[in-house]
Amino acid sequence: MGAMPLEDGSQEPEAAPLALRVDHLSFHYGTALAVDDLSLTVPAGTIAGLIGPNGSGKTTTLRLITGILEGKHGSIDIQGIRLRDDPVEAKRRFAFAPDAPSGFDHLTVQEYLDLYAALQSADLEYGARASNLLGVMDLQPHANRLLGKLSHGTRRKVSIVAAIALVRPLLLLDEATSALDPESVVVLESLLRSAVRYGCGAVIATQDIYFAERTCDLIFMLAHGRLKASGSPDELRRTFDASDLRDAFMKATGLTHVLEGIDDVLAPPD
Amino acid sequence: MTSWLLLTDVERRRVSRVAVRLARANPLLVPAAVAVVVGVMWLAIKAGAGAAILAVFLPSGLSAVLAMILLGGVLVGLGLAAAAPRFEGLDPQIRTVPIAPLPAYLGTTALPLTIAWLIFAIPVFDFGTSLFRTIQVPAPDAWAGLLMLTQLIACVTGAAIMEILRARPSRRALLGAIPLLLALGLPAVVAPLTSAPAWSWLAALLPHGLGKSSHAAVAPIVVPSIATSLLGVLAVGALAAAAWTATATLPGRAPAGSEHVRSRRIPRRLTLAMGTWLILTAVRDSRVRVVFLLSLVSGAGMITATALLAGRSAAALAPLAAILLVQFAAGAPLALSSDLAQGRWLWRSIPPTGRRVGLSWWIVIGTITAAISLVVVAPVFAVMPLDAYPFVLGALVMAAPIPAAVGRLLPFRHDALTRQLGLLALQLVFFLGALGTAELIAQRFALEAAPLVVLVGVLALTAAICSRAPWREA
Repeated sequence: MGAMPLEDGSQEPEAAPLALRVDHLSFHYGTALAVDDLSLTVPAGTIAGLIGPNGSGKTTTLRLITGILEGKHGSIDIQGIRLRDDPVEAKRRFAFAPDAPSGFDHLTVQEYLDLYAALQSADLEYGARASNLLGVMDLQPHANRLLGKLSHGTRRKVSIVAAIALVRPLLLLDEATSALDPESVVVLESLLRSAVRYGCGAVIATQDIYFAERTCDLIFMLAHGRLKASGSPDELRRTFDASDLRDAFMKATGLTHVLEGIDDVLAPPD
Repeated sequence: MTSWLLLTDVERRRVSRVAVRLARANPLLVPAAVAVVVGVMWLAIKAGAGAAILAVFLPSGLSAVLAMILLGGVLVGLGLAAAAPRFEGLDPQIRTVPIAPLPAYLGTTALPLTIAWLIFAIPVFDFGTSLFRTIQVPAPDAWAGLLMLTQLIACVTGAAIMEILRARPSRRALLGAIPLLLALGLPAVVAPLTSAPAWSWLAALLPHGLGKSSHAAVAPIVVPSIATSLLGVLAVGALAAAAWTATATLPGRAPAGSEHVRSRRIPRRLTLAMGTWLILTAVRDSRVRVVFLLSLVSGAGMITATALLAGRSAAALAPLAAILLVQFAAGAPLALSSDLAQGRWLWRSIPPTGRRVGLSWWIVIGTITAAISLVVVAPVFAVMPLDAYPFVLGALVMAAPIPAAVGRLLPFRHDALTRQLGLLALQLVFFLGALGTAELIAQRFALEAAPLVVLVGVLALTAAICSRAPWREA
């Protein structure tokens, strides 16, 4: 990767096939600006991480890419297919696991995977892959349990299994490690690596900077809906003269001042 | 402000925010809402005059009409108390603040429900005014006011019955039921004293006795003393309210059943997959099951009441009862819209378009509603003349796709009482609007095929709403 480009994440070689291209994307919730002129590209075979504070626009960006939200400004291309022009074809090229999967509480895990496969027109091997993943994620004992009875973390693992088993060119995970136990985080890391070896690109939004540093080839740092910095973890550490990605993140997003005087916050008033 | 009033105020603010936002987004909704209110008032006045004529043909006349209205109030109270979220509507963190169960119930459920019933009682007042004026009862407005109050008490009684049904069997439940038993039993005991038929004790405190009976060609109208009636109604009301309060915070039954169930096969085709998912949800979700059960109980109650109160005229009233039952049958399909809305993140991110998903929902929910309606209405066919079959079946087909459209426009929420009330009101407006339009076209244009035209219109409109409405959160 080249020098750190601010405001624009287009630093990959031109010839590399792109899993995702986002150009000048903006989105408002009413009058509040959630995503501000965001551009980024993710080459195939790359794990990209979106990191940023709460309200920085990570989830909104993923919701725009998946079509859950419809933006008026900017464009989204998935494997060269423009989402706005051909949403059906574009949606056949990604799999998505949300941060808080909801609904379908009265289906069992197995039934939910079957329903998901039907809705996604998955190939006939989907069931076998999903079954393998249930084993890997320690979910087999839950196969006949109702989704509504599962813990939040287990429910998220089911959602991640459903998405990864599709083996689509682009994998989108919102709050990838949220609510997962440490073992599942390690397994997820390996699964992402494995998926990339099969040519998938992945975009994961996460608050876990250490997970992002270990797993991602490319990092996009967001704050207030804008891209503040992007590059590989090494590039970002060098650029911000930081010891680790957390330090680089604090410098890039201007949050270092928050830590100053934090000990006085709970002190009784004079 | 006390804690329970604060909880009600939170709900009021939520409703007013939604109303203002809707009115700003589409100013045409304001005159539309006014038109609906005026239309309902007009219908109530018309129905009052119609009921006065109907009373002449029923055994025990007016008492039968009033008893049916009060029975309707009990069913409404029963249904709304069953759907009410109680404490589940509160945020988990708020639920941990130190509020006693009774004030929490008053703030989240009892007061909002009472306000809703009061709004519902206004058309009842119009109905009563029109009815008592038509049959020339002295002081008709005062009697209409008393009818409104009695209707409110009927709703409270229905809610109290629901709370007892929900509660785990316990000594407290039995003690709490005593005032209710008194509320239900006392009027029956005093009914003979006021010369009212024993079975029509529900209406004994109101003017009664108009119409033909087995004892006389035209029974004279009996107008009790209004002061005595008011005292009687207030006494029954106090007992019903005491029963409701005593039973409202009883601990509910523990959820039954295993977390492990046998997984069923989900078909690969979109509509069949959605159908299987929704049927499994309807079967496994205890809240949907309760609503379905209530539909069946309401159906049985309505048929029994029609047969008891209308006697030989039951056949004539059966189609009307069937149409009301079709509305009760919409409860369970409406509740399923909550599940559709919760999965909107999935519907919007999968390759099938929103239009395809919406149309599949329309087909599945339309079919489920039609099936439930047939089951609920089936007993009515036994007492209905053959020539009324096409009318009832036509109304059933017309009503079938409405819950699909209403649920897409305004998804059901198990945790929001006002949303549930709004949803039921919207369902009723759709259905009455369709029937009213059919009547209007038939009268204005002397068109015999008017019901068919409206049926096609309802099918097209509901399909368009299901395939194009914006996805809203449950």
